[in-house]
Amino acid sequence: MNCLSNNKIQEYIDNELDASELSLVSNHINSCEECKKLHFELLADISFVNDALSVFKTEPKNIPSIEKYSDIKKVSVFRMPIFLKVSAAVLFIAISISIILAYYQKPEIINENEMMYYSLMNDSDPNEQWHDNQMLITISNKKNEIVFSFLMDNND
Amino acid sequence: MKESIVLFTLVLLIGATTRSQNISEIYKNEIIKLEAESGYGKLNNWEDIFSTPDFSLITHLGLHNQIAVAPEGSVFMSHKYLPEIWKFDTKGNFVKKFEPKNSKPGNSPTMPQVEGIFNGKYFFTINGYDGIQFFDFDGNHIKTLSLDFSPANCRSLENNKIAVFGYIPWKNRHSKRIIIIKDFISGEEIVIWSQIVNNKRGNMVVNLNDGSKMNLSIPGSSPIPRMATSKSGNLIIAFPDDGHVSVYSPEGIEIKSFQLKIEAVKIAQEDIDEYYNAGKSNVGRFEKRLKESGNFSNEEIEDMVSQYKVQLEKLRDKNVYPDHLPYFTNIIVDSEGNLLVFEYTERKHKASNKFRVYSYNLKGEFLNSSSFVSDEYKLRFSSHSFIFHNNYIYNVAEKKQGSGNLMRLVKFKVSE
Repeated sequence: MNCLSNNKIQEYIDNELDASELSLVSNHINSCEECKKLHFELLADISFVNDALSVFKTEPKNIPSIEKYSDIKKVSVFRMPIFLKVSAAVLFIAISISIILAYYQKPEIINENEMMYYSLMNDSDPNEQWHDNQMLITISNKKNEIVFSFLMDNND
Repeated sequence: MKESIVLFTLVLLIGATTRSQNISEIYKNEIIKLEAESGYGKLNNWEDIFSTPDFSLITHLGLHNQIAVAPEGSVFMSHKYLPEIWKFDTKGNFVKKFEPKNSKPGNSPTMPQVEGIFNGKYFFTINGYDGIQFFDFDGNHIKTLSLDFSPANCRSLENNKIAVFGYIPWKNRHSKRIIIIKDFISGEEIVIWSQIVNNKRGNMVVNLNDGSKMNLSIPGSSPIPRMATSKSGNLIIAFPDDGHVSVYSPEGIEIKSFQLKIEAVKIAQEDIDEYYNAGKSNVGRFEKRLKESGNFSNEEIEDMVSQYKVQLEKLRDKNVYPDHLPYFTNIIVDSEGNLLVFEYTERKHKASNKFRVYSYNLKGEFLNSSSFVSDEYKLRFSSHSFIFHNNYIYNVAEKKQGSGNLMRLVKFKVSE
């Protein structure tokens, strides 16, 4: 067995190796001077760091061990086909537009021409209109343009 | 010789003073008789001047021959149906006619309207979308003040200012009524009053089969504010809805306001019946006019007449009408600066052609109540066709008796 890497020895110190690997690594450290030396050095580093941190007098924390990926239970996930996703989005937009169109009333803008015709009734003598029973009839086309006007009274 | 000159001057001064008091004094009479000045416009062929055009060719409406009187007494008149302005000299004789810019038929839904005299040297007109046009007394175009709304009428004020009332289209068949004061030189304007109104009020709107619409007016609904210029050049605005009057300086500052003490005429069931019956008797004429216009197919005319009849039945409902007519019809300022407020009159006064006139000074003080009458003419009380000028009244009126077209430009002397 070749010499161990720093990371592998660190994993050994941190108890992150599985049982089969733990045995191999432990045997190698005990039999290899180089790795044993590196192991001691890393332990010394940890001791140094712990000594340095001890000045903060923090209580030791019990850090839970990291769950191995192989131990995570696999959950089956249903993946919707892309055409279904697109169809659902289109359907949602279509329904939204339908609702907006159903409840939205287009503002009916009164035509300037029409307003001027109304003002004509006001700008002549209203008392005369009252006595003569004048009635202004206007007809506007789809574009709201006045196409016919007729001022009816008793005198014509 | 010196004594004669002094005496002559005194006579002139007394004469002038006496004459200037005439109008205020004359309102103490219950009836003010107007006498047409004989010989005024005697060279005119009135039949030609006021000839009625072929209605089948008319697609535009004009106002009832509005006039403005220049300081020296010449008169400018807009035609009811044609895009023309006519000038009459100081003796009432026709001088010439001319057309304001862009006034050809089809350019605007209305005819150009003469609105008044500005600064004593120009007369001005409005015409749909073309703003306010100013002309010298020979008819030469001087200036156009553009507007971003449709003007309905204007008043000339002091300090190179002009007041304009007009309309702005609004959504949902509403419109914004607006009064601005505009500077003749800079074109700057300030809004002094505005109001958003529902245009369905005052009109019955009917959807026709082909998607077009028919509107029928309802009397006494949604009256517009009336404007006049005080003798000192301020703007008077009177509101027929509530009988309130406000006076504004040419700079747009409200100087004073007061309430007219007028009782509004109630709309009675007899009035509604008469209006309905008048509408009913006009069905045939409505159909005839639709055919004459040449704009509609037989099916369309049938639909329109049918809808008209349906709407007529709705006109029998009292709820369609306001409870009462507006508080007044028009305001006019006389040569002395008195404010005359013309009322609605009950229908029984129609035959006598009597119109009660209330006079107020600009403090809002009630002076008297009176009526103008003329034996010879049916008077027209509109602020643009009943003009006081140097203690005379100019009016576009209709002769009571005669044949043919009876419309005339008349200069009245005021007498007790």
